[in-house]
Amino acid sequence: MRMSIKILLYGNLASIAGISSTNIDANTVSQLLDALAIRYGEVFREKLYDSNGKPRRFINIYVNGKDYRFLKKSDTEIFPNDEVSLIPAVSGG
Amino acid sequence: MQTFSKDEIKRYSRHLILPEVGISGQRKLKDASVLCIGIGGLGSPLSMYLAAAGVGRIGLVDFDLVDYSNLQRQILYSTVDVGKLKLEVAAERLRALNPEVEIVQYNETFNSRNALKISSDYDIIADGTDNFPTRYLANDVSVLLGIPNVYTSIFRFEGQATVFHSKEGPCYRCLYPEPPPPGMVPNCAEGGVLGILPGIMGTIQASEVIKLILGVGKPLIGRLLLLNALDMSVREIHTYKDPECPICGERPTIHELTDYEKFCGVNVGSYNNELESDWIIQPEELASEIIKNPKLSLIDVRNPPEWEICNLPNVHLIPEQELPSRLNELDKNDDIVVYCKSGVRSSRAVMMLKVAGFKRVRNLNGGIQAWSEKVDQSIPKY
Repeated sequence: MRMSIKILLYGNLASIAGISSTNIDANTVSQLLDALAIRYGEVFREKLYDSNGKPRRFINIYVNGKDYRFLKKSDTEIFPNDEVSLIPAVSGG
Repeated sequence: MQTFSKDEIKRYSRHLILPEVGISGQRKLKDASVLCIGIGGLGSPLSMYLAAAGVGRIGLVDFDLVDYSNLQRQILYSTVDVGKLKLEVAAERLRALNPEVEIVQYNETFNSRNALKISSDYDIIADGTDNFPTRYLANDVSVLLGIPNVYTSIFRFEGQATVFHSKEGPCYRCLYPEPPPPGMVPNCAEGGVLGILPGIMGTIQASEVIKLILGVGKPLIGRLLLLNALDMSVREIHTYKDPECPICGERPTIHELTDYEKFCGVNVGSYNNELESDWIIQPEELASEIIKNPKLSLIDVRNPPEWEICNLPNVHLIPEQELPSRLNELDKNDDIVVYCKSGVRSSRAVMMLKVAGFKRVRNLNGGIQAWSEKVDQSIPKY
């Protein structure tokens, strides 16, 4: 299987996945999120999606450093060697 | 215009010989005022470096007392300070560090009623708080007053730093339009934090404040700096002003401060709200039930390092995040009591078990901390 997109996980997402960097194969952001939820299980899925199945708004998703909200959101296309970062808000001080 | 005494010339000499600072830069620092919101892990190095650098007026907002659990990272405080008001200890420490600067104390919570009034006396605010409602409040204050908000926040081994200045770039709401649901992102007390991390991040925060005052270099406006102390990597993400931002966008709908606890869904003691009273058990009740009912099943949903600090006897350890995949270890007809440190994670676990069809599950109200206070004081609090 081609594992081409580099994923960087931050905050609690990295804690739950037990890893801060991985690779996954996907064509769009929404495929990528689904693949991550399948790989890292129910608790990860619950952190990623709200009860309506939408990506939670406090987790920012960057495709090659660009916020996916200002691209095509979940439909944003991704290509081999792209880098996708999932960065939740944190509040500790 | 500020002038400098001979002592001040000596004190700031390493600044004065820097071309980027010099006498004129040091004068800007002396003329400047900065409000430090929160003087904990981030606020300690932040306020110490601002005082050392000669920032003329430094405001401190905090209402907390020094606790033993602060000393691992909040370097303003010493062991002898435990139990004292942070504000008093910090002001004394900063005045001792640099008697030339004015320290202003605000012994109150930073809230919608006082935030604009306090902040309007300052050129820059620096957000070193530890919760989402106050972070949204600090943001809105910064946008409404048109002053920069130098921001850092931390989680375990990771830090985020940026400068929110809506006149020139995005604000906090552009970056994070909605807060996480309560309990979704652990704070330092729940998730732990590497003690050095706020030292690194608070120092970055102080650097950004000093740069803004001096007008030198490239501030972190529109850039989010991400630091991971575990692999010691630093990354930078470009952040964008959101045209639809409700406070700094093209058609703002927020024109004054609001109720931030409500916005963040936070209500003190509300974590049990979704649970009916017969799904909750008080520590004293549990103590007597343990004796009467040998079949009572106790589940600890904390993480293994917390378990090593303290635990109750004859307990099944299933960390919250493993619970969905380990339901087969439990019997749906058992009488189950779930606990964690303070009752928040276990209330979510009880909800999960309830939804999964478990008949009798109860949340230990206040967690093992309350058990320590009310039943067995030999259990350490952490």
